[in-house]
Amino acid sequence: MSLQKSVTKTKPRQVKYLIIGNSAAGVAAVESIRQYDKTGTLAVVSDEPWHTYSRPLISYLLEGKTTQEKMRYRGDSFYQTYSVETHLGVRAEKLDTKKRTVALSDGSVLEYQKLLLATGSVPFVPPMNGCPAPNTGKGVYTFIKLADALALQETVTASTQVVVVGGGLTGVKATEGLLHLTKNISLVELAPRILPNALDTAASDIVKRRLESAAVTINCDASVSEVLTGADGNVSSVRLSDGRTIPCDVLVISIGVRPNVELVKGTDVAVERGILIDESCQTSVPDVFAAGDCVVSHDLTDDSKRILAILPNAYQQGKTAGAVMAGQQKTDKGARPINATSFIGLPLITAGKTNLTPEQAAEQGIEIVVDSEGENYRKLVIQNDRLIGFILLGAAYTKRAGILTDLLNRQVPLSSVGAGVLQTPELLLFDKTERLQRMEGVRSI
Amino acid sequence: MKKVYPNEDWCLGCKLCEVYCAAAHSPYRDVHAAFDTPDGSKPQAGIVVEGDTKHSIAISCRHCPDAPCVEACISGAMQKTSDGVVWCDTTRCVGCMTCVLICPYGAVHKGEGMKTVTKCDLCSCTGEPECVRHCPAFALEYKECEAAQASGRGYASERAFIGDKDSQSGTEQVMEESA
Repeated sequence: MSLQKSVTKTKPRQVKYLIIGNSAAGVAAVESIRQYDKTGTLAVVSDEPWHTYSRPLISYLLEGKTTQEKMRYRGDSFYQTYSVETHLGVRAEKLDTKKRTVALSDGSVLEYQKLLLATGSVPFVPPMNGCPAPNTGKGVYTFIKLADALALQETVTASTQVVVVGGGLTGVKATEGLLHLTKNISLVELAPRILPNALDTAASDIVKRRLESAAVTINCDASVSEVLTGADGNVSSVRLSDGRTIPCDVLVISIGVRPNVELVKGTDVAVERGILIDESCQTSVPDVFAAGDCVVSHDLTDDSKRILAILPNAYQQGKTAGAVMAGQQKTDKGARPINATSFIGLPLITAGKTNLTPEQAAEQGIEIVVDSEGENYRKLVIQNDRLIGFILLGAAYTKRAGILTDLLNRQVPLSSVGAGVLQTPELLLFDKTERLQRMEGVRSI
Repeated sequence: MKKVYPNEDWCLGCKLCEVYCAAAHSPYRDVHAAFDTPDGSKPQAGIVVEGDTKHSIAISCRHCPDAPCVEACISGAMQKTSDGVVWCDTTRCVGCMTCVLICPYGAVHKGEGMKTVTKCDLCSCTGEPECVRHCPAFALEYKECEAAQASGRGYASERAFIGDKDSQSGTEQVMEESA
């Protein structure tokens, strides 16, 4: 409507590089492009009004472990230093790959030579009977953006009853953050355990006990069948699939995320759940690139295509995309799911394949080595003399975890490294020649 | 760039490098005050000795050109200066340990009771790093990397742009509040 009018009226502004998205993948692309092209015009568009900030830190913000100022993903002078023209608080509304233009919500139109789609993800909100629309002031919230955390910070007080739906990493971290605002929190998870993707039952139980000792009520094998509202239209309680009713003023939905592919709908850019990209992060349309949570990634763990919505993966893809956009040859072969976080002071690091039943392991010739001591838990998943995944929970087992990640990433034959390297990750257990070579600072990844 | 190079054939495993590193990066800057704390907490060193007194090596950050810890850091606290020094702004670090997960050298550490991570920052380039200055066995050297220069893999290609530090930044360790 009004957009149509402005498109015909406005002469497109030409930029060499256009990046839609202002988070990890977008920032990585800026840093990468400027490594090779210091002067080409570069514009960043984001519907959020803020200076680039770290999305995963929103739970730490609730917890008081960071501030809005400190959670900036790059320093205050980032855009000046890298000569970036910013369009913040402006939505990219229409992409025309033939004309190579993107129309923005403020009526302006940008014409690009190279475009990067780093549009991230949107929260997945399943249909729930009677549930008011999220983020409309009716007590229902999503939890992926700074605005979500700020809204919760404003609403939740010590007397607020909160129900968090979704016991994955985001849901559990949201719960931990909210614990600083109220002690009345119930977590609802569909799977038989919390953190069902990252953790096995034993590790999940340890985290569960931690949360329960902080007074969180955990309901597994459960889902919300109905959301009940009061006369004011606000959430008043939720009914679970097992019939129980939990009173609640605030409902946080953190079931998961989906790639944000809104902008490419109706264009030639190929999409299958997420935007499809090749090894140089190029989409099916020439000069249109994509990176981060909005794309389908190559999971090296099982050579499959899936959404790997994790920050380090977004950065690597953005870096590759930026280099290729600036005319370099660069490829991104894929990534593995990796996670590092902590739950009320208990550190957790996971990588690769972590979840399989003893039957599956036996079938595939996979060896699983488990150690535990109190709240410390270590699971090593080994196949064909190679480490293919691990769970490290607790300070005793997370030391020097990067050495294990390196063994996993490079698929180093474990028999070529000194015995016990998985239990005590030390460079001293590697071959001396290799160690000296690597200590010179030449990375072999 | 100059870095700290360990000589494992000369290393005694005495861990004095750890002691002086930890003290230099503690809020006290003094060995006695740093280790003799009222609550018994011990500061974390950025250089850590592996092995025992028979065979040991002191491992510290290699300040990688495309540092995986900087690229993977979720908060933006881990940064690289225009001189190539990888350092962690502990005022922005939330202690998530993504850097610990990603460092192939195992050279980033989160000490017990620490809110943030600790790593070698070459003593912020204030001359010879403390670990090198105090190594009684001369097993640590602060020097240019000969192999990297000889093979043409110097550090000239490092990102020249990075290094917009915040004014309130710091590399000092941040302790957990006592519960």
